[in-house]
Amino acid sequence: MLRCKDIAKLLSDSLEKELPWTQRVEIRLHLMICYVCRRYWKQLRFLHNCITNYYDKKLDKDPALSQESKKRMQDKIIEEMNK
Amino acid sequence: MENKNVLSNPADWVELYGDQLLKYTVARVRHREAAEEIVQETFLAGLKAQKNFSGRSSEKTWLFGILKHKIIDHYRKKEKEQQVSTEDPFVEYFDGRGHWKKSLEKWDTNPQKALEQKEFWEVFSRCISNLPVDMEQVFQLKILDKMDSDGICEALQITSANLWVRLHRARFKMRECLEKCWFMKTG
Ligand SMILES: [Zn+2]
Repeated sequence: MLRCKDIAKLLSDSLEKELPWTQRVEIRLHLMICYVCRRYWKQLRFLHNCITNYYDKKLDKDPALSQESKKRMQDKIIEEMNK
Repeated sequence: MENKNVLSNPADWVELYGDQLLKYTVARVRHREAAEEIVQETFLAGLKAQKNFSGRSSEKTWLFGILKHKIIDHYRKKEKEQQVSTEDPFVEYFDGRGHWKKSLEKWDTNPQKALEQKEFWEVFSRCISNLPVDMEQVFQLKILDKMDSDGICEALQITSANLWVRLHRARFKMRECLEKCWFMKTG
C-alpha cells in the first residue's frame, strides 16, 4: 500500500511526465479514500496552471529600453568599435 | 551563388534589436538592471565575434544565440552564489509513517476566480520573487524555454536528484505562500 507521502510525490511527478498505469490506478484509489491528498492534488494543479500563466503574461509585457539605456549601450558599442 | 546574410553596422544593433533582446531577457532574469546588463554584454560579445558570423542564419537569430548563452552564464553564476538545500522537501510535511503531519487547509471553492483578479497576480508575483533564485530558474527554463529535465540539469550543471528536490521544494513554498497571502486572507 502506498502512503500519503508516496502519493504526494507521485502526484508532483505526474506534472512532469506520464506515469505508468499501475501507479495511476494506485493514485486514483488513494484519492478516493484520502481527502488531504485530494486537496493537495487540486492545489497542486491550480499552482501548476498559475505558474504557466504567470510566465506567459510576463512574456506579453513589452519592456522597451529607455532612451538613456539605448544611448548608454550604443556609446559602449561605438567605444569598443573604435578601440 | 547562395544568398548569405551579412551583418549590419553594430552601431545600429541597439536600435534594431535592443527591445526584442531585452523583452526576452526580462522574462528570464529577475532584475531589470541585470537583464539590461546581459543585453549589453550580448552586443559586445557579438562585436568581438563578428568575424565568426557565417551568414547561414540571420543577424537577429545569431544575436539571440549569443544572448541565450549569456543568460545561462548568468544562471550558473547565481547557482554558485546560492546555498542550495538538498534535503528531501517531503520530510517536513509527513510523519515517520508517511502520513500528512497536519491536514491541508481548504482553499476557496473556486480558485479559478482568482486568476481573473489583478490583486491575485500581484500576490503571486511576490511569492515567486520570494523563492530562492535557484528555484525560480528551474521554472523559467521549464516553462519559458520548454526545456526537459536533462536540458535543465545540463544548463545549470546540477544532478537530476537536485533538480527534483528543487522543483518539489519550490512547489511547496509557492503553495504555502499563496495560502498565507491569498486564500486565508480573502476567506
Ligand atoms: Zn493521502
